[in-house]
Amino acid sequence: MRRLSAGRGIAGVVAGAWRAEPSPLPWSEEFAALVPLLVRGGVGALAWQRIRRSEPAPSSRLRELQDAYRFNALQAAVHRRALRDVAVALQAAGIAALLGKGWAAACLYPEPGLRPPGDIDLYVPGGDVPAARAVLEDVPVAIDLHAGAAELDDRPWDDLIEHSDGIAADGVEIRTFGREDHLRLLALHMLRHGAWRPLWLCDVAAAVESASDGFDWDRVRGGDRRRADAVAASLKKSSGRVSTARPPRCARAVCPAGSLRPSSSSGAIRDWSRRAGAGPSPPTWPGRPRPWPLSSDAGRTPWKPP
Amino acid sequence: MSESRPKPPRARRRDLVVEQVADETLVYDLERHRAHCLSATAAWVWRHCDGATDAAALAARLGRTLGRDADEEVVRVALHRLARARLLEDPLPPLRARSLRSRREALKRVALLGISVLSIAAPAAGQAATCITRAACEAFPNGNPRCTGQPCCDVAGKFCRSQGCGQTCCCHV
Repeated sequence: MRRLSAGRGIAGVVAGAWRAEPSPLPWSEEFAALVPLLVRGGVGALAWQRIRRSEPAPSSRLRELQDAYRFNALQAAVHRRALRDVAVALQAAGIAALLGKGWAAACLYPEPGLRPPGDIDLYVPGGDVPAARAVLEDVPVAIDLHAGAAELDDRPWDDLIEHSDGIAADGVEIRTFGREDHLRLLALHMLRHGAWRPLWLCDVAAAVESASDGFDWDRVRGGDRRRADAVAASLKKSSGRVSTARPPRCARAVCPAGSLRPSSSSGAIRDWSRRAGAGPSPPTWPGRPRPWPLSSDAGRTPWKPP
Repeated sequence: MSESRPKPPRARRRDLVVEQVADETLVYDLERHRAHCLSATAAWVWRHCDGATDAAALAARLGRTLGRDADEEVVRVALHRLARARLLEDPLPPLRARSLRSRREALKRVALLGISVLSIAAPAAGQAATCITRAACEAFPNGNPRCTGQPCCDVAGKFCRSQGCGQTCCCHV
């Protein structure tokens, strides 16, 4: 049997795993070897979601995937509780904040245990950062406070607020980016960091597939031209890697036939990564190649919006 | 002299986050940063530890609920597992010394009733979040709850931790 590369193996395991009823995946020794990479890549629970449906015999490797799922579910509950306090504190201080990535991305999945909520990414206007930092000092979870939404700063902050959505965290509403802006943010963030985490591809795929009627694809592809290209490239990369079926609305609206040839997709990724300068480089995968071959390695200069 | 009766067990409620996922009860201890997974039967015992019901009464109620025999010894083993996970308010008296055979029998009955309290290992931190720079990690004083093992961006294979560091958190294996 041909040996799978780590990247292909991971892609095969997580393909479609974010859906409510993913196809079962039979457990094999080859997958057992991928477990550490799946867990480190943040997709251990997604792998469990598919593998458990084939009712495999218990093993320690499987337990790692199941524990990732359990741990995510608990972390999501801890974050929900913390977010309630965060929302109340920010509202009391009169600070308009938007939640993105992490916990907000986890809401795109059918169950909270499927995606690690990571840290809490809060976006506030640059001028409100010191006040927000003071308000959030005592919150006992990791909060990544962003001064504005750098990836989306081709749009005025007020516009992002106007298009924002509300999600409930333990009975308190917290604002998150509108669906279109959030997809754009996830796509650009993924490229900014060189698309090294399989989880980010799944986030983008889950966001694309959750786009229902009324989803404004023009808003996704609008704005700065380079970013629009980068978003389209990111969507294409995600649909090529982990999602076998490209959503038709996406195919029509964002990735119209012929508008993105394979070479121009890589070109857009390179272009965006170079201009974005990328944030911190990803941790290396000890003893193994990165699961996703990169079009461009992330640079090490501080990120500046292109 | 008569032996003093042990206090009926009381479930700990403070500093815990409890999440029900399918038939499992997941518990996160915010104080010790430990996660536990209780089977349905273990969770039943835990929920009924009200500080007024002793092990014998719990066993009788559990037996009625399950429609099967559940003796006091089985409930005591369950309580000790819960206590070991720090999910009870007060420490329990040690289990009475018994013959190996009777202990083995009790454990078999515990297994048959599906009483389990598992500790959940936190997955490798790489799955948790975007990476943190070494400088940002070292800005946290040692013991800060934010040093939870986020991967360090600029130091391959290391994670922002408290253990093994000096006065501040550091990027450590």
